[in-house]
Amino acid sequence: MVHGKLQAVASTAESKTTAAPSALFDRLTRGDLDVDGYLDARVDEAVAPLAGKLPAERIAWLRQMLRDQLLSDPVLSERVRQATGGDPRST
Amino acid sequence: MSGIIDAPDVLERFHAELALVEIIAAQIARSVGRAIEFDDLVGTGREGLLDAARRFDPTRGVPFRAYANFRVRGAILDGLRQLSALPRRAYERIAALEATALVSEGEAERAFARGAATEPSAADRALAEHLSAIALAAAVEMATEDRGEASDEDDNPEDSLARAELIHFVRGALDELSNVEAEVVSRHYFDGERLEDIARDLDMSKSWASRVQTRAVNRLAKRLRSLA
Repeated sequence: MVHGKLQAVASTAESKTTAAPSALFDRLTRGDLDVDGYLDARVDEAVAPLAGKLPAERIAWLRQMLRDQLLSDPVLSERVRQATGGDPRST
Repeated sequence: MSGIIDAPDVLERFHAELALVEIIAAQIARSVGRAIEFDDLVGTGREGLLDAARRFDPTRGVPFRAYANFRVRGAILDGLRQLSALPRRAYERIAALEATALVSEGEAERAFARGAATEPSAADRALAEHLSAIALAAAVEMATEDRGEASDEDDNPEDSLARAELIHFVRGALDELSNVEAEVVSRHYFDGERLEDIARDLDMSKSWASRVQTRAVNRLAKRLRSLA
């Protein structure tokens, strides 16, 4: 599944650098990834460290909640707009 | 609503963002996943919007729409918390949504500051860090929430162990925070104190306490990522 590969790439990128553009961002700007795919991968990356620290069902809910928040939370949607140039906001 | 006669600019702000209330109410109802009276959420949300319109300070640099979003969200979640006889799972989700709003609100001035992180790759890094912080804060709130009625959905022993591990990580990582950051995190996430009460006790504004809390959670999330 593409998302799993992206998660692995993102984890590798994060561990190698904190200042260079992330691998996910590179894929987005090259057009290898669309905005939805980029956002899905960002959420997967945020949730990954919680594996084993929260019940699986809670993590699944958390993933969906974060994905929704990317569209409705003012700060998250502003960061998405700044990073992607688009306006994902529904609010 | 009270008999206060609001200034025209207050009413203008209120009416301009009225549609926001139903959008946020619908999103929260969907996330909490219970049969909650939608009109009650909207009514509470509108009170939050009016409060936002009255309190808004444009000098902080946060657009009214964003500020109102947090106030409406907070009002609706506060209203939900007052409901009795919700299952524990619903309270967990409410707590997670509250944590999300709290962490984001503490980041709002930075996110909307002129020239800050507007370069796309910098915004990408900021987005990644902010998402991690929110995920951790929401997870900790879910792990420590103990309100609500027990049900068959509650944890098995493995799930309880997983929660305990998360709580253990956060407690252990408090040593890496400043004294005030550790106190704010400990009192809010483990003792269940409201941020405004902690702020008053520490003789700081709520907005300052919000920024301290967000900074602390960012640091904890960074620590968690380094262990993954």
